[in-house]
Amino acid sequence: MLSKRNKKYLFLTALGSILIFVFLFLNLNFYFSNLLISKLSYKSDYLSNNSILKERISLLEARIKLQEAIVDENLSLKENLNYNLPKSLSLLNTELIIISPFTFTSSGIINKGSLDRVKKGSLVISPKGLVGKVAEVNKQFSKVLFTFNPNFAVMVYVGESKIPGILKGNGISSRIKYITTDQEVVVGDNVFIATNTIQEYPGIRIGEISGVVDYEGFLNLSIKDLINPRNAKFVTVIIND
Amino acid sequence: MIRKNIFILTLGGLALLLLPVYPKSSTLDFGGHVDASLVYIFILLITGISKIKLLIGLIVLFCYLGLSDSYAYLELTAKILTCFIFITYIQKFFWENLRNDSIMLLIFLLLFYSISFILYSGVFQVGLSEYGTFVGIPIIYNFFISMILLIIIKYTSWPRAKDQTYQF
Repeated sequence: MLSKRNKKYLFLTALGSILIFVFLFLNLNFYFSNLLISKLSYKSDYLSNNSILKERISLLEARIKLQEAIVDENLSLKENLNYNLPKSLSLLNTELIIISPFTFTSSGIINKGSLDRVKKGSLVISPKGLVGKVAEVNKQFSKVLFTFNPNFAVMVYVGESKIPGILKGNGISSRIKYITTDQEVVVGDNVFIATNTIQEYPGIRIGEISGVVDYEGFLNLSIKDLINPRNAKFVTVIIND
Repeated sequence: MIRKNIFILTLGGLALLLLPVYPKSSTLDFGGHVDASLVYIFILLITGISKIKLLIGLIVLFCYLGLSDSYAYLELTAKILTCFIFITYIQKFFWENLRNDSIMLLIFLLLFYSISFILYSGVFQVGLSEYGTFVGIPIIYNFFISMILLIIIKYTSWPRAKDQTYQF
């Protein structure tokens, strides 16, 4: 006759053995299931070929979609490369990864930072025109202020006589300010980035004057070729070291 | 079933919150003309005001504020003011149906863009014609996107009442 203690011991041993057996069985089943299926299970060659071909078609379709996306990206990058800029400038192609979702005060984040030689104040352009200016630089990403952001300001020259002014955002558009009314500015005059900035840009054309308004002793000039950067994906940073 | 699953709800909410931030993410961006926060706030307000919905709206606004700069406080003020006026003076006086909801949406958008115009013309001397040119397309986009979302969420949602069987 088994004592109560022995009965308990036997019960626990049996339970432990069952658990170990189940665990090992499941593991072995997991490791050998593929082998067993491939060696022992019955399958029709015709059906298996058909399913393999179907899988291959779906894989190829997915690859085509990926290729199409890459081709689109390449096309927009090529457009960036065709931008008419002086050869002496060093350019860095980058991607706008985040755009501020607010309507008026717009800024974005590009995926290049100080590790890629991006500096605070560097201009950002796209083939369609001026996008903005780098405002903050981190190691791997930078913040760009778009041209219509109220914090955006860049010094420009207007016309052949290089009248200096400041292109400044107002939340809705960007206007050239601080040109006195005695200066002669007409619609159609070209606007260039000023050459006496810290970055020492050569005169890059950014657009032309589309409207001249006299406002409290100063001219308030609107500029034609500024783009809405919210549509942009690939942009170029002018590093100019 | 989905209503009760907090994990799916949280995941969906996070996706709705974060995806419009990425350009060309094929969510609510539509060439950058749609203001996602404005659409979300309107949808939250029009589907019944509660403390949780107001909290969600504020979280959305402050989350997007973090991705903007200092002048975004001006726009945040305009949005909060719009919500306050909309809840206090407009929403109570409309009977809820699709036509009235579309009128309320139009009033909400016009209210927001009018308040923004007052603020921006005061601070940056923005002209009316310049402002009109800038907000014309966003108003149209915001209206249609909000309307589509409203119809999907409010008017074609799964019925809440349990099915009953009758025996005659």
